[in-house]
Amino acid sequence: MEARLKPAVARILDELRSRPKGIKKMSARRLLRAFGYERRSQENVREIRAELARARIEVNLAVDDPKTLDELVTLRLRKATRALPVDASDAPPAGGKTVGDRPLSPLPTPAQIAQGRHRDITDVIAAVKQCTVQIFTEIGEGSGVIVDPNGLILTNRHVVDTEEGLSERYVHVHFADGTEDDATVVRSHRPLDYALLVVPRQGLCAVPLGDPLKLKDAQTLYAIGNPGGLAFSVTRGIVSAARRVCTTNVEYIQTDAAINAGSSGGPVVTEQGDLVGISAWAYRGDGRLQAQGINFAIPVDYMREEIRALRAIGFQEACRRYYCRHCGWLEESEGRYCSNCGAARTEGSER
Amino acid sequence: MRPPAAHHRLGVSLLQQRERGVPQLAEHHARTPEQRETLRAQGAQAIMDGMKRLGASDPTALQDENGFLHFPVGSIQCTLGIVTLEERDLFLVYVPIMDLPSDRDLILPLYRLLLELNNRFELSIAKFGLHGDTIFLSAMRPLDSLDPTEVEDMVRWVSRVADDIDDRLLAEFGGTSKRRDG
Repeated sequence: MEARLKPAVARILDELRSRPKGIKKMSARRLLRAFGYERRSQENVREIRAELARARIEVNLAVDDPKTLDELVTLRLRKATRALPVDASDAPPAGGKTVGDRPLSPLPTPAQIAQGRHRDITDVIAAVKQCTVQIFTEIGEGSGVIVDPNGLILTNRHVVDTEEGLSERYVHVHFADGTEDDATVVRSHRPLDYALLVVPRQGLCAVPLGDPLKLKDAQTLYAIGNPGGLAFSVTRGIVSAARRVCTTNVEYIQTDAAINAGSSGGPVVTEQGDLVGISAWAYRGDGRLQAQGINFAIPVDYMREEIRALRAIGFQEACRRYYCRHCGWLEESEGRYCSNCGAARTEGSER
Repeated sequence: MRPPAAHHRLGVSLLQQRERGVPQLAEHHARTPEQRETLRAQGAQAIMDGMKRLGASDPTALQDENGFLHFPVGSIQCTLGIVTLEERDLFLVYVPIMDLPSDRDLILPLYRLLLELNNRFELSIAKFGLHGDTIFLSAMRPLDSLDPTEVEDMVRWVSRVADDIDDRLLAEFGGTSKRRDG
């Protein structure tokens, strides 16, 4: 059971174990941030409570009490001696959380999976498909995945690259429901080959980030992408090597789930629907070897810190800041040169 | 293929000097278009002969549509050909080493290391440069009286230095300083 705990819960558990009285105090704001939420809402408080209850952590955080929902209030977390029931009224409604009438994340919660509900992989993949997007640039197309309901999309840096190797600032995104929108690239990383895009939308379906460090060899993975324009194709494979290092010191997830041109940037998910990586590249062999099924995904935990930082800045604010099209750096300050890589500021980097 | 950025910038500064009326070194080498054509033909022949000395039986097979030759040496891809700068034709060998990293704590030490390496006589005629976001090692020489032996030497030298150094640079600066447990 503990293997499926969220990293934030695992950290809290560790801290509680090290405390003599088994009590930890933390502000509601910190707790929300630890779970990757920018603001409080009844839905995310419910989820946090359910997650903590699964780890047998008691917390004086009530869903309906406006006092404890205040972000500045200090909460008391305590390790419970007995199993805490995940209250049915507190659990997210079947089909996931809602904002108004719109589903926010249609994925089953860990609690539902533990109870044997939503086991059917087709439901999970159908849900992840809703969170997958097609990305179109001037020179090509790729895939992407929504990682925050307020419009944050994760993809590959090489998907948003121009012919000269610079990063695009604006790209076009097609959603699974057939709608489309312009997205702004707000952060990218060339060696890790990821880029983060913001679309001006709220209440999208977002895939929860999993923990790729806990992947085990031979575990089943699913990749979704748009290879050669075949929109939202699903492929299946296993983890061939959970932490493969090639040339540089970057660790990749090696998988045999087929990754082709166009599926770059698409989500690689576990059977539970947790996003563990994004499709990056495939080894096709050299003169001596014709390779098959040697594909690589970039683990999402490299980007976790970046996503948190963007949430803290605010996505719309990030779109207004200067973005270095060379190194993918985002900064607030004025100046003629990028403070990260020293490149002269290029046109089209600022809104 | 476009000329590398560093050469391009040098070209711009020479142009500015010309506008200010500063006497040009290049004017001593002023040639008629016919002379330049002959020189380019001789240079191209010297490059082909040099490639044959390096063991390529049919160098034309390595040529792209712009006349540049591409071939692998160890873990690197070597490119050579004739570029024009300030109406002078030059023989250029260049080897892309790696992409620029994106992490702040890797970029600055890498810049410094490359500048320090450029000042080392072990590099001889080779030098590091940045074109767009690609770090490359290159060597240039005017086409005048270019000899196949010289072509062979330059290609051997640049590709050997690049092949020696690229793995070390990639291992240290090619990835990321980000940690996965963030």
